[in-house]
Amino acid sequence: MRSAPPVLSHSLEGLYHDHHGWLTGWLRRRLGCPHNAADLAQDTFMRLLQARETPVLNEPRAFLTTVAKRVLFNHYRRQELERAYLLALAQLPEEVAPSEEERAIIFDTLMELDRLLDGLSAQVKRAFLLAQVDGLTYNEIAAELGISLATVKRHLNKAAMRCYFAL
Amino acid sequence: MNTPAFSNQVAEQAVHWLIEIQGGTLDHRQQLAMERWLQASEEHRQAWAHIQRVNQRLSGMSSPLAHATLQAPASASRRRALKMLLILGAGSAVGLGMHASDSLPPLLADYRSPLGQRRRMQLDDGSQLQLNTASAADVRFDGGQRLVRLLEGEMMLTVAQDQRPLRVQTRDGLLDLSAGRFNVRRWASHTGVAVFQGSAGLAGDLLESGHQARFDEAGWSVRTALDANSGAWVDGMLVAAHMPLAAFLEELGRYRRGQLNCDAKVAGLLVSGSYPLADSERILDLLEVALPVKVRRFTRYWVTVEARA
Repeated sequence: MRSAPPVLSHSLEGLYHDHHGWLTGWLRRRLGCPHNAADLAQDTFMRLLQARETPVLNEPRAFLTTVAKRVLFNHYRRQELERAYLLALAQLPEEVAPSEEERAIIFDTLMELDRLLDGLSAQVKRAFLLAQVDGLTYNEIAAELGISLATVKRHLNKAAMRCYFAL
Repeated sequence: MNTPAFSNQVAEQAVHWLIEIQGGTLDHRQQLAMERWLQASEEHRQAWAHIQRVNQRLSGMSSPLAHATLQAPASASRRRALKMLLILGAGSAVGLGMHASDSLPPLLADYRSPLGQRRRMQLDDGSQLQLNTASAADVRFDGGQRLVRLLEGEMMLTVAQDQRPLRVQTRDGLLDLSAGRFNVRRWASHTGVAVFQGSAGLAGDLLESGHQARFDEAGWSVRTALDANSGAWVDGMLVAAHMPLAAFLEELGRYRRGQLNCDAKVAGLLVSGSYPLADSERILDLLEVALPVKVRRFTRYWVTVEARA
């Protein structure tokens, strides 16, 4: 990273002023899309705003890119989920497809669920969905996934702590 | 409520019972133990009710959509982004504000409205629920009572006559509503209530039609006559009567994405008039005409209103 100019102001507005254009450029180079870059630069500053305390910044640009990388990461995840969601939606028979309004809400719920279950293995997530969305018995889940009953319970326990209590 | 923070221990116990019960292997002795656990404390019951609520939401979900979406494969771009994150390590910035919310997400609520939009729902008993921008509510009707939980934001409730009492719960307390029309809004440290028709009781203390007030754990405070802006959002309006500019912009900011700032030098200027919420950019333009201010747009999401030079 090239050396950044000295910080003119410690307030967030100062930070915004001094580095917003630069951060948007940084994101644009990574995304190849000016429109998304502007949105994500905004999201980055929104995150700082929600954190309430602006840290003492000796290296404002290093700090901003660290936060921006997290934002970028979430952006990619959202795109992946959206792609998978739309694909699954397209394959649903007309009569069971959710209405326009329901679609957005279901997607929001799934985004939240994905965030809560983030970091758990695909098998743990699948066991959880089979139990809570599909209502399968533990025996059926064990057979479906080819794992033992004890493993099913362990998986469900882990996912449940995350999903219900964010723990 | 969807927001109490449960202790780790209670969360673990609740999950333990859930897994046992769903496994269908509970014998009579264990069932009694579960019931004792429920009766032992209010926190236990709330944790259990929370699980039930989330499960109700999950079980109504489309199975193919849920499976396909949550199994979405990681794209190459995200793997690259993740790598960048790991190289940087858990620097201070990553931890900063990334878990801004210390409460459970209201996402698994029955009804939600997106930012900048309003929704209107007809409830089973003939009552009507309208949600303002970025709001969420749970609705639980049973044989004994009608309960509406406001989890986030603001709602207008038109309560139909029914034998069952209608209660509204927020983080700040529990209201008993008569038939009538009520606006309820969650603020950072209290709940605001406006009564257009009927009455709202808080532990037996009534707020009558034509009045508004706020409440928290200590009860009602700041009782006044209804002001012009209460409930105006239902008609898509923001109504100001000598409202300080800072407060006006804060209201307007609820309906827009991004940050709407107010320079301290002009924060106290008074705004009056009726403004259509559908076009907040136009409202900002109107402010420039009505007041000695200038609207500076750094980007479309970062706007500052300041004194005209």
